[in-house]
Amino acid sequence: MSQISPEDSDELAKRIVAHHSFPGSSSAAIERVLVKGTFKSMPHGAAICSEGELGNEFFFLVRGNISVMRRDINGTNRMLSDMTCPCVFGHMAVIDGSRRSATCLANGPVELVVLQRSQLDQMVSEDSVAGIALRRLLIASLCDQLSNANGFVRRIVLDHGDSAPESQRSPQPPTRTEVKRLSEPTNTTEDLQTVSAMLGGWASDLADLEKQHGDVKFVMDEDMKRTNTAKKNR
Amino acid sequence: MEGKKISVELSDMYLFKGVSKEALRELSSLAPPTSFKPGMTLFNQGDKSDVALLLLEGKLSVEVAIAGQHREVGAINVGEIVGETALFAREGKRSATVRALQSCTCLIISKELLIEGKKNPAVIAIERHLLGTLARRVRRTNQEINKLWKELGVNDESKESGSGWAKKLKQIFQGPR
Repeated sequence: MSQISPEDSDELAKRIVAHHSFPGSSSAAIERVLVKGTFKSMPHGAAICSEGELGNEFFFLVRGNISVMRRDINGTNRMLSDMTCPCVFGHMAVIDGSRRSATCLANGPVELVVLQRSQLDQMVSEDSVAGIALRRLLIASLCDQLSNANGFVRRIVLDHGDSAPESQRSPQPPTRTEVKRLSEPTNTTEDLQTVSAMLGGWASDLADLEKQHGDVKFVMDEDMKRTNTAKKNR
Repeated sequence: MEGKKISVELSDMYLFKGVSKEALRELSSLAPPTSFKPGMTLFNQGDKSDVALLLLEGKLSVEVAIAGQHREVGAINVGEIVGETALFAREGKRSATVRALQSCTCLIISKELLIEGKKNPAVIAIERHLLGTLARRVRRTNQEINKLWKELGVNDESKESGSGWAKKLKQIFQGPR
């Protein structure tokens, strides 16, 4: 197992700092993160990570291009986007323990620095230079992803104007008939799901997702567990 | 954004579980908790941004103006952070308007706090909390995009009038019929 060369590490760290903005960022700190990973070369077409699998590694792209693919409803892989240096990817599944949401393929030969879940777990709790840099770099990267995704939703809504789907319209209070119906005794799954959806509950989203993905079991995070416990104790 | 500085017990919060009282005292001195009255606007969409807020008490609403229409897109509850993009992205402008729905107490997280308190365990706890929160928000927004695509796909099926983005979404997620 080899490490990234000092020249590549220096260049990549400088590009990361120029691309991502976070308090106290420095290329020297990023280099301390990169040196902890394993350097890996992959040929064109190689799968770096695959949709649906558990993520135990995340990656820094040192050189080359990555195609991000996702299965459509027919099961065909469709290209979502491509990524070039500098970028960090594959970290979402490592942070929250969920399955990979997309497949990443090498588009031409690529070079990567690979870090393991155990390294992330250790470093994000540290007050070391590398720990602070990694934690803040990942937050900055997630902020960018969130900003892009929100922009995507905004453009869809703008494009469709009044035909924007129900889920994107301002929430309206339930009508008298709906309130009356909701106040009647009910114990069917369908009615409970309706109530949950009207209240904006996350449970319906998880149920939908589990139906869509079949074998995928969604894990409740700490916030959800506390919400559930509070509900039970009420 | 103006508020009244008050004291609040941080050690009761789940996110600070295991953090020493000394570290929390240091956090309180670097960023004293600040209170806001119901109805106060904490951030305005489009404003220049330089701080994030950790909500310690109360509830906040998040609104976004799209094409002249205000949409309430969510609420911020105790223990949640809002406005973090100000600290970690280059954009520098608020993407939403945030209002106090009730009397609220917030910890104001500034770049100075993150620099001065970088080794403070309470600041590390806030950053770890933020990592998990952001991952969940990204995943939820991606799910929302999937949901939008499905709804639009059904709505547009008869008229086939989808704009560029809707068509692109169709190509990405659905493929040829």
